[in-house]
Amino acid sequence: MRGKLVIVGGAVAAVVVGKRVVDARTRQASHSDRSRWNSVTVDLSPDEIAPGGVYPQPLVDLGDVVDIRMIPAPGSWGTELGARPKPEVPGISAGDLRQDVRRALRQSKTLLEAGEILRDQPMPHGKRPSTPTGRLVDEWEKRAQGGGFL
Amino acid sequence: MKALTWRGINSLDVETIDDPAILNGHDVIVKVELTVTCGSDLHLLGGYIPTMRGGDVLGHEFVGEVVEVGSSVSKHRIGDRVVVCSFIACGNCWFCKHELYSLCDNGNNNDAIPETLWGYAPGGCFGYSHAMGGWTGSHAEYIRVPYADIGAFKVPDGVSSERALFASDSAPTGWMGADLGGVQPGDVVAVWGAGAVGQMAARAAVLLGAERVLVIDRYQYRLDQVETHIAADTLDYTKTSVLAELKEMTGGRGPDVCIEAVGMEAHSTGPDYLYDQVKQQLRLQTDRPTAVREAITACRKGGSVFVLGVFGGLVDKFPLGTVMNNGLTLRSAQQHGQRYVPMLLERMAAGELKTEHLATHVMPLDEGPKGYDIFKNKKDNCVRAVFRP
Repeated sequence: MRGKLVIVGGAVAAVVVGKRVVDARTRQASHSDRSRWNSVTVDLSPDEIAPGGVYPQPLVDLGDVVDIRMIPAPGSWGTELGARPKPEVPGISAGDLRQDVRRALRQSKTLLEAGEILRDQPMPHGKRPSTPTGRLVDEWEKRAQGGGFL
Repeated sequence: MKALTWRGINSLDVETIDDPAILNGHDVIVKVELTVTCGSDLHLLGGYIPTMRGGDVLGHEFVGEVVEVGSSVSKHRIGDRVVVCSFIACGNCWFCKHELYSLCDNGNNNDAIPETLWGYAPGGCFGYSHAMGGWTGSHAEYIRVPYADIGAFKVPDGVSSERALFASDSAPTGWMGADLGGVQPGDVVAVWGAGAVGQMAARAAVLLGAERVLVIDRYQYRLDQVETHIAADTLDYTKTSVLAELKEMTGGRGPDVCIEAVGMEAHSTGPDYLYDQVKQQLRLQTDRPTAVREAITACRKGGSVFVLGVFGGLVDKFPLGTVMNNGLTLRSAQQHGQRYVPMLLERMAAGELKTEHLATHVMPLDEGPKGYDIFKNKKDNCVRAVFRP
């Protein structure tokens, strides 16, 4: 009994510490600040990324509520493609856009480099019994909303 | 179709699930002929990698026949017999162009979990949890293969499926350890773990010209395979001091290259094993790095250590002082298989690389749960259980 209590206590401590680590990393890297650029590096030139000044469709779909920029990356890396919410768009918070911007950048990169956006649904699977790790994954994916950080 | 699914910790089942479909132009659908268990699957089975959902299909090492081809696929035709690399890579991002395929930027849509855990997301992997994309695994009758022109390779006519199967993961993973570990002609190489990956790493070291290759394990039947099929020497760590043996064998220098092919559930005979077990079971560390510690300690000054075993998170008592003061080069990676598979298939065709002996237990997919039990618990001298859907 004492052994089980120790294991449960250790597990609880690990969860608490783990959550604090995740929260801290999310705060550090969440790009929730409107002024911070969220970027991906694309292994192409600026002209290839936005021929005629037209950005990839996932970024176009965000509309004019975001600023977009391209910076030549150092060495052989290609181009740093960044986006961020425009300051003070009425009715839209930076938090609302954060994951949308992240997702649009990722999809644009895949579209540009691989030629198509990689689809992952439907993904065949068996019946979904409730498991502790499954609940953890559900919670993480809900929190990420398809974006880059939890 | 039938598939082997994870139902919870140490619980598997065979159930009927939806067939896969072509979703992208670069996809093919492969009818799985053979699919094999891997030691890294045991980390998923045991809950050590906590990113599984009930119902996920396991399996990432397989060979089969192309039965459906996407509109953008140029290399493959229906009827091709292919072996598929376990990592899903686009072939066009910076990492793929630099042959770092397992780091592909465009193979893992589920980047939130790995970016939070590890800072950046590696590529996707079939059947290896939602941290690696949540892709449906190969322990099934059919599997969708994204980016098929990059990750699927036609098996030469002279190579059996039983041999080619291990070009999917074990052989390229092992080869990478020797290659990126910097094995040179004349080197002494030590490999921790006599499973399939360790054996393939040892064979790679032999073929790359190492003068002496030693494989360390505690299972005599696996060490016997090493001596019979790999042409390497062996050490049973339960019967001798590994560090003392390696020093004696190398004139006090230590091995030039040390390759760890054990992973997060390592065993040993010393008190550090008990320490690691307690900490792991209490979730105060996620992994047991016993073999990594020993590899670092054993390596000669200025030598190279390559970590092939899968690790998920945090470890304790890591000998960083040894790495620093002995000037070691420490490297690691998930397998960059696309870089090696064509060469490995050529070597398989030439008879330089034989793998059939690794498939000690071949059975129908319906017996998958039994196969994992045999494999996990090392019953009946099992090295790998192979399923034939």
